[in-house]
Parts: sequence; C-alpha cells; structure tokens
Amino acid sequence: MDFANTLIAIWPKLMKYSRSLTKGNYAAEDLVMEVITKILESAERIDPNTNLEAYAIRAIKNTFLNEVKWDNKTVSEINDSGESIYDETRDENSGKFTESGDLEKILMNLGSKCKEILVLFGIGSSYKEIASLLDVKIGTVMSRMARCRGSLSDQLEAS
Amino acid sequence: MADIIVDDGLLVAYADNQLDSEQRKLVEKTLQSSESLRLKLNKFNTSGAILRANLDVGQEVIPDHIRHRILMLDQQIKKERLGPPSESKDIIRITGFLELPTFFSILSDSNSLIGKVCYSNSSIVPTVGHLKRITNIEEQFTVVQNDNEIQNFGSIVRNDRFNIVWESHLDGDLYIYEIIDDYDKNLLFSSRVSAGSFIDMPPLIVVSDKAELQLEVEVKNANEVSIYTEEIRLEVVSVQDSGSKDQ
Repeated sequence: MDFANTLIAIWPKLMKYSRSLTKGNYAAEDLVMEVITKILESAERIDPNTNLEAYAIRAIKNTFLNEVKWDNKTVSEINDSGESIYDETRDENSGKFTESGDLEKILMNLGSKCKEILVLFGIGSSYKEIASLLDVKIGTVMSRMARCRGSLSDQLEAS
Repeated sequence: MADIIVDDGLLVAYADNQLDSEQRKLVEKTLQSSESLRLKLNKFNTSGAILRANLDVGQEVIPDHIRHRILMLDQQIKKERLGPPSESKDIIRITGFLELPTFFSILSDSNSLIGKVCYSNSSIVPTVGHLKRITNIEEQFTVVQNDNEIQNFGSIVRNDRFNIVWESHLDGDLYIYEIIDDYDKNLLFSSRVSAGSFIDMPPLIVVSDKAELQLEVEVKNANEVSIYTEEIRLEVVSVQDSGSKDQ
C-alpha cells in the first residue's frame, strides 16, 4: 500500500473529523499530522489490507483523548476561572467546525457523542463504518443517529 | 410482504440510504400509509442534506505544502529505515518550501521573478506575480535565478532562491528530485501537470557548500510508467565567486 498517497487522498476527511474534536484549524492540522507521522513511521507493521481511513480516524480520536488526559491539570486550572478549554465558542479565529457558523454552534450544543456521529456521517462514512469506528453495533448507530438528527432538526428549526 | 414497525432508527437509515433493497421496500410500504412517518422522513432528509453540504470533504483541498510535507516525511522515514549511508556525504540541503501565498507576496513587493512550470507556446497569462516565459522551445526546462535563465551545466548562486521552469506538453505527474548519489535521491517537488498548463512551484535554495547540484525531472503517466526523465546539473558558486567570474 502506498501509505503517503493514501493519506494525502483522505486528508480532507481527516481534517474535517479532527476539527470536530479540536479547538481550531491549527490544532486540527497538528493532530492530523501527528497521526500521519505515526502511521508512516509504523507503516511496515500495518497490515496492507487495513482500511487506512478508519485506522487514521481511530488514531486521531485516541491521540486526542490521550492529549485531553495529559492536559487534565490545565483543564482544572481553567475550570477554576469558570471556563473550559473545550469551550470552542471562545476561539473566534478558529474552531470553525463547518463552513456554516450556525451549524457549527448547533453541533456544539448537541454534545460530543452527537457531534461525532453527525460529523462522521457528514464526511461520508457509512453506518457500518461508523459502527466500526465507534466500536458499537450498527443498531446503536441507527438509534443514536435518529436521536441526534431529531435534535439537530429541532435546533435548526429554532434557530 | 408483511408490514413492519418502522422506528426512527430504521427511518433515518432509510433516509441516509443505508438499507438493503428488501429493507427499503418494507419501509416504503409502511411510508405509503403513514403521514407522520413521511413528515419525519422529510426532516431526516433535510438534516442529512445540511450535514452533507456543510461537511462535504469536496470543499476541503489539501494544500500543496501539506502534500509536500507528507511526501517528504514519507521519504525521510523510508530513508532512515534503510540506515545511514556507508560513507559520509556532503549533502545539499534544499530549503525554501515557503507557503506559496507568502512567497508570492514577497515577490510582488520586490518585483522579483517567479519561476513557474509553464508551456512555452501557451498564451496563458499568470494571475499572480510575474511569469518567466521560456522562448527556447528546444529546452524542456531551465533554471531561473534573479531574472537569469541558467541553462544545464550553468552556475547558480548559493543562498539565493532559484526556480525550475518547466515547459509541459505532457499530461502526467511531475517529480523533481535532488540526486544525492547513484543510489539515493530526494523528492523535492511533485505535482500534477497537464499539457498546455502551468503550475506554481516553490523556490529552492542551496545552502551547503557542495560544488554541484544535480536534479532529475521526471514525468510519469497515469499507469506510473515513466515517460520522460531528464537531468539538470548545475555548478554552485558563492556570491563572491560569481562576482569575480563576472569581472
């Protein structure tokens, strides 16, 4: 498998997903590049039949979660002053989740689980792929998708 | 065909085209007799369309500098995997892969020249910066530094930007390598080229004191069959050397 060119081809999807986790474009880009570097470094150990897109998305999520754990001290410090570093609305220059500012705000209000599943669907992942990425059954994807899409519709109507 | 209970999960999966044909038929049959389900389906269709429109990855294009970074990273990792070279080599370090908009603004301010991959007989007018037109159609490429066209085996000044100007009359993928030795070469630049078009290319700078720079230009077609390669060999001189030669 030509890992470098495959990663270049899926880079737009990885960026969209990464932006759904991080605060902004630069953080999203750093996260994607960190994962791409790890994948290229371990290319020899990765099964050539691996779905690289799913592999990379899972790696982005895990890397992000590790960083969150690592930054716990920082979180508590910021929380003392009443803010959270995950309050993406604070970041005016970045944190741009989508091309639409309204949708961006709505998705943030829906909670991380909804945001994740809606973004994965929006970037073109099938329900089967989402189930594999989130390590849940496809029935769970269907019920969560229905609930989150219902909430999204309610918010869109209200806005 | 038996009726089924269409819950929200099944309905959203139907809206998102995630069901097989048999499941779709069952849902469609139930939809025919349920106004409320049809309304809900409309909402799922609308929210799905909004998500796809806003998160469509087609809107996201990988910037050239990221593409180069990934390709160079890949090459560097592969090289490290092979281990150190058997003997110490004086390697030319090429820098200057500036983000193109930054580069353009620098050049616009200084009224300098931008080297571009171009087609010599084309009437394309560049929209950004200045384009060096190549008039010698016998040469497929040339190197441009400080408005001077430098032919193969010519001299370029160290620590000063130069560009490779490419006359493309082929469709394919362009690769420009720095030749390290008979067994090793570094990918400096790659891009899609099409006949009659020109592409932007970042400037290069030689910063080491190596006396010669050897580049390889290659165009591959879609089947990865090499259809054109050519080498560029250049003498690298310092500004002082260049000045004394001119005198």
